[in-house]
Amino acid sequence: EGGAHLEEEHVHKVYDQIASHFSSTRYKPWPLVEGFIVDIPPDSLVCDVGCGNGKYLGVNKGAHFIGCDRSANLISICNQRGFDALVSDGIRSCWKANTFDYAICIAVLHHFSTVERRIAALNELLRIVRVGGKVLVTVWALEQEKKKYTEQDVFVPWHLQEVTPKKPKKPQYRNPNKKKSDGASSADPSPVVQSPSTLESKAEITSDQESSDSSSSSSAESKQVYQRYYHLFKQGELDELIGHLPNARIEKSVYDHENWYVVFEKTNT
Amino acid sequence: SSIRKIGSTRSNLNFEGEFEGMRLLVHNLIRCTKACMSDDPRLELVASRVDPPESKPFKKQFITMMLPRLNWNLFYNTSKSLGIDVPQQMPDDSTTDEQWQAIHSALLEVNVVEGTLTCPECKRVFPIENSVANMLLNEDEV
Repeated sequence: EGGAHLEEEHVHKVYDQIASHFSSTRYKPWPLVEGFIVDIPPDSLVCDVGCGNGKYLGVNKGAHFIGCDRSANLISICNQRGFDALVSDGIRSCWKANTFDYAICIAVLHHFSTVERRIAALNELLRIVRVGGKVLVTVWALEQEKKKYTEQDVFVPWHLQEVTPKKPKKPQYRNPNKKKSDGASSADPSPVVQSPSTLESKAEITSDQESSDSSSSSSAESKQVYQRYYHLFKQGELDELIGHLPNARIEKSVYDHENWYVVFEKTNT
Repeated sequence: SSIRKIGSTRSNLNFEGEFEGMRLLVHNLIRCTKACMSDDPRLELVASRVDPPESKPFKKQFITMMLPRLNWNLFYNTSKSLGIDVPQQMPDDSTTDEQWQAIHSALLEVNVVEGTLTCPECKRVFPIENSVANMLLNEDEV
């Protein structure tokens, strides 16, 4: 049986094992997501479901963000940075209903392995926001500019490199309109987003680039390769899933940097 | 310097420095993952370790906007158990600055690094270990 078991092996165990390394590669907020976050009014209560290392939790200091994630190691990193975050599941979460003004779920839904579980996760996002509250979901797209995926259900390798965890700097609020290099590779001037074919760091190599990027992979001794499960979304697929929910109204649906980006509103309880 | 080891389930990371645990605002927004007590969902927080509170900027407007979402009784009782006296009623125009400070400190500054969250109905205990609250159910509970 797929579902929870597949996700345990190829999502949750992987993220927990790679947490430090993963966190060290997740430092560049995605402009479109950052723009959505910055527009959130002050004093709003926001849940980041699948918050990872807390990358988005400090972007808008006027709003109050609370994160949750399946990985205890990633939540530790959030707590160390001074954020509110706890370990919770995306389908059965701990939040009371009608609690948040906004929920964001960035590059998470594509880790659910069945249609039913994706709908259940979307339902849960709706449950935890108030009526009139808004949800932002992003997922990796099947349609890519650089790499042509033919299958929707894929395993994307992660080459683990040892990273000594050091205390991360408390994230500073950044003006999303200003392009700023965070000390990342200067050869990568474009906004960096999480997508199958965009290299965020030399450590994350897709199976396609393994052969062509031998120079970047040989510089680091990779101790282990983990396979992360992804379901890549076709155009309109996410919208159709949201259509299954009786109390969701889609406000915006766009393709951006190899991701589908959808905002929907809770219309009633 | 002390290096704190994260002792929970399968993690093996060692960090120097401080962790911030569960604040009472967050405690007030969660309920048993089994969705018990649909009328009055809450968890009982028992703290075995509370680190010195991290100072946070006082925002009266934010706290005011949180009030409709809070179970004040739960907040009052939990604050008391952690040694903070907040007013028994929700703040209004008569609330003094000192009372507001106590509310702010209890809601947003004090945080529980070690403790338990217990469902009054099913008695399930969710742990807070090394600042990490784990609200996951086991396989046989799902």
